[in-house]
Amino acid sequence: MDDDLPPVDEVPSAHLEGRQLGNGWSVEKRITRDPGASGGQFSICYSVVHEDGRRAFMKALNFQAASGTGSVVDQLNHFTSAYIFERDLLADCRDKRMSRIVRLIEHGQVTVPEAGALLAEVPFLILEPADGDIRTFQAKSSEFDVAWAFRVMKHTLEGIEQLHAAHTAHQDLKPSNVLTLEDGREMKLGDLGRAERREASGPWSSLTIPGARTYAPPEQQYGSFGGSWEERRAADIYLAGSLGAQLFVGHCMSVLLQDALPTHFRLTKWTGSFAEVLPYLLAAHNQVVPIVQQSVLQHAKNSSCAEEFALAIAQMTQPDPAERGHPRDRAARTSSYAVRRYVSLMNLLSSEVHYRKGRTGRT
Amino acid sequence: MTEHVDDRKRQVVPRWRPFQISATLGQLDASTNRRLAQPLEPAPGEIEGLQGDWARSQTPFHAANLVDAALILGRSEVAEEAAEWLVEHGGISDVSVRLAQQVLSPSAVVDPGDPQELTRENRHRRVASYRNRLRSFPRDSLLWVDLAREYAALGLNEPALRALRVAIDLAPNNRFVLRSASRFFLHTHDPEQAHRVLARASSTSRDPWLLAAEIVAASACGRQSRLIKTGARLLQSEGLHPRHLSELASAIGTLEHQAGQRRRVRKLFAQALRDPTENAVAQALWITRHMSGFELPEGLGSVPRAFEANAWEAARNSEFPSAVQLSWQWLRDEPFATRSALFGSYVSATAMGDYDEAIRLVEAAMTANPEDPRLLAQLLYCQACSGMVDVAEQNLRKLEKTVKGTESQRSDTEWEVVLNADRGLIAFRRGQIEEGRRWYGSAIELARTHQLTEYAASALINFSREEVLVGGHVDMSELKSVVGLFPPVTRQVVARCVERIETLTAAKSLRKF
Repeated sequence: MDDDLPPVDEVPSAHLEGRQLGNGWSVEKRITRDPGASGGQFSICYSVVHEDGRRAFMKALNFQAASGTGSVVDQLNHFTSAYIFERDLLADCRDKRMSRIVRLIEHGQVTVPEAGALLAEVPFLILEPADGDIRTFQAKSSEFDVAWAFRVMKHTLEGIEQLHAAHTAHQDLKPSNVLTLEDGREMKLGDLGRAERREASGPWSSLTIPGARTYAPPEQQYGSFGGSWEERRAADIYLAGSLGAQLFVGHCMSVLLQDALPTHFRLTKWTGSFAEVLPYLLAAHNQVVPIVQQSVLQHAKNSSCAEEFALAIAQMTQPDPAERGHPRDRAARTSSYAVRRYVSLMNLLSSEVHYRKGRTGRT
Repeated sequence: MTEHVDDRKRQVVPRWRPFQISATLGQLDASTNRRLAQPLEPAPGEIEGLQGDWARSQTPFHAANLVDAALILGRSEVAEEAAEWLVEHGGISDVSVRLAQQVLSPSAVVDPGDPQELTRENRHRRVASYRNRLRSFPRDSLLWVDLAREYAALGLNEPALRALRVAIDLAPNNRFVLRSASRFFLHTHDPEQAHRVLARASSTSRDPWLLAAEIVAASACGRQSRLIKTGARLLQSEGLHPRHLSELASAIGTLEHQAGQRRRVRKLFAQALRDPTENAVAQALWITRHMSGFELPEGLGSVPRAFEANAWEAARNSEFPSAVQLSWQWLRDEPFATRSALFGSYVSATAMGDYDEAIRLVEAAMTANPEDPRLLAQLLYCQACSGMVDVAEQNLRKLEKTVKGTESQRSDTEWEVVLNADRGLIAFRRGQIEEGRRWYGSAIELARTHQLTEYAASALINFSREEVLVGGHVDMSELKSVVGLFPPVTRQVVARCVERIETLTAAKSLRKF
């Protein structure tokens, strides 16, 4: 692997293997994929071990990724702001004991003397280790575990709930950011690199699509995202619903919607506003929901379970953000995008399937 | 007496087709340029991350993730391997294989195809299916409109109206909803509502398709639209695709035609025909029939679903079977309308003497319009001509009551001419020749007294045919001379009818000899 590494004086963060971090932690080896780490090219990931035997996951900031077109000062500023934002947010989540957000263990900086004076210090974050993400876990299972899929939804929604309670929107919820721990029994949300806090603008505040474009809700994809706190919460709940569809259908809601739309209204053709395309998106959504329901039914073999789940997904992924979320919460007007009811539903569905599986041996 | 083709008026009244067809025809495309029609730019590392995941873990989930990104971001090339894998191994659901195939061979443009022929039972089944879906998705405005269309095609205008009202409440500015609603209100002879529904929508002043419909609806109310200047400005604005302006230019062009502004008519229709809808083509063709020296460019007949324009052209070119066939397609395209059925039935009965086909066309249109007096008149005429005299007589009684009780585009005198001629026809077919002559004579005289030359000529032709059938004498030169009294567009149809009478006369003379 060392042969492939860029020169140490250019990318010191790529040369951390075997180094002591000065707080009991030492770097083991570089890992190719960073489960739950933001933007692969902005950081380089390692497994780290503490002298007491604990293992963890480390993200080392790669300043080299800041190079490109435009003012280097602006880029470095943006780059470091993003790091500081994520670091402080993770620390806050830890301090608030958010059980469904990946935990920050340490942060600091390590000196790489071989690098030039300016780049000698490499900032890092040490995070609790995960087994992988839900895709990897799902692929390992010999058969589709419906109870587990509902539990994934429950834990994910709990993570969103914890973040929202702390006035934080995740904005980049996708399968690779839902991490599995304890052999898949627990799930936590990773990668807060694209998050936004209600009180303080984050580094991505001005973006119309703060997270991955593929998974983004339609109002963002069609360019009608104002960036208000409520809009960000609405986007999170959409992403959670999209994840639910993806667990059973294999594909995210945005792709399913685009597939159901006549070509003239798709992202590649539509030149009008989001408000104009909305009736067509609603019609497409109505075609997608039965597909989700059918997929759940296929796996769960239980029509009421499939119906309830599909209804929840339909509410969460409703293309019109003003109509998104649970109708009762919307009626209350104070908490349109609350997810507590969905957490309870997923808990109920998971328990129900688990109980039935125990009785009949079927999922 | 056969129904005349009433070609005096025509407007670019919006067509009302099912949502999927309207969308496929491009009539619901955005007419604004708020965003670029292109795939989204990927976030930094978005594709690379998924590609790396796929390279490390070849599972249905990772393959599907990459396929998703490829489809949304318009980057098929990055997911070809993953798509092939999904096609070979399958995904979590059947959807995966279908989406993977889209990556491997992006679908071509969808052809709307020809309209389907639906029986009454099929339509009822569709209604049930739509209602069932609406129970689950009551906010689907487009489905409410499609439901209303099926109701309208079944002649159930009250439930159609209720469905449309829901659709308007749900999507008060949507082009498909508003144009469909306006078309429905014009169909139910409520032009005020047809106009109101467009006039109060905030999108109307910005959307050329809605502006066209508003101008037409205002005209149907007998007044001039307040948005004509807005429409004219829009026609001059740059950046709008010519397709979006086609019907607006036609609508304003038709107003200019009414005002006798020939130069403006030419200019506006030249704009309308740059990338026309079939409705604009039909309107332009109508202008050619009413404004001498106005010619159309070649090739307009190939515009999708140009059934109406092609049917008229076929009749003008004496291609009568083709004209009838096209009328069927025109009728299936708008199954609640009457013009298509009347036109096809007229050509079939008059030019071809195929009364059975003429009856089928009229009966198909009567599903949606059971009380329409013109359809009823045509039906009884064809029934009498094909020997179903008793049924024809029953329908004649019904027609007599209907025309008394309803408003129609035809005057009382015109109706009286038609009724007298039909009475004459039935009398002839019953063998009451003198009574038949009396009724026909009365019809012709009444028509002539009121300068209804076309009606008089039509009654004379029918009278002559009946005379020939009972062995009477007919002055063929007089018959041939009245052909010229018909408008050029239907002259070929009438000429063929006279030819048939002449052939019949020759055959009768030969038999006598």
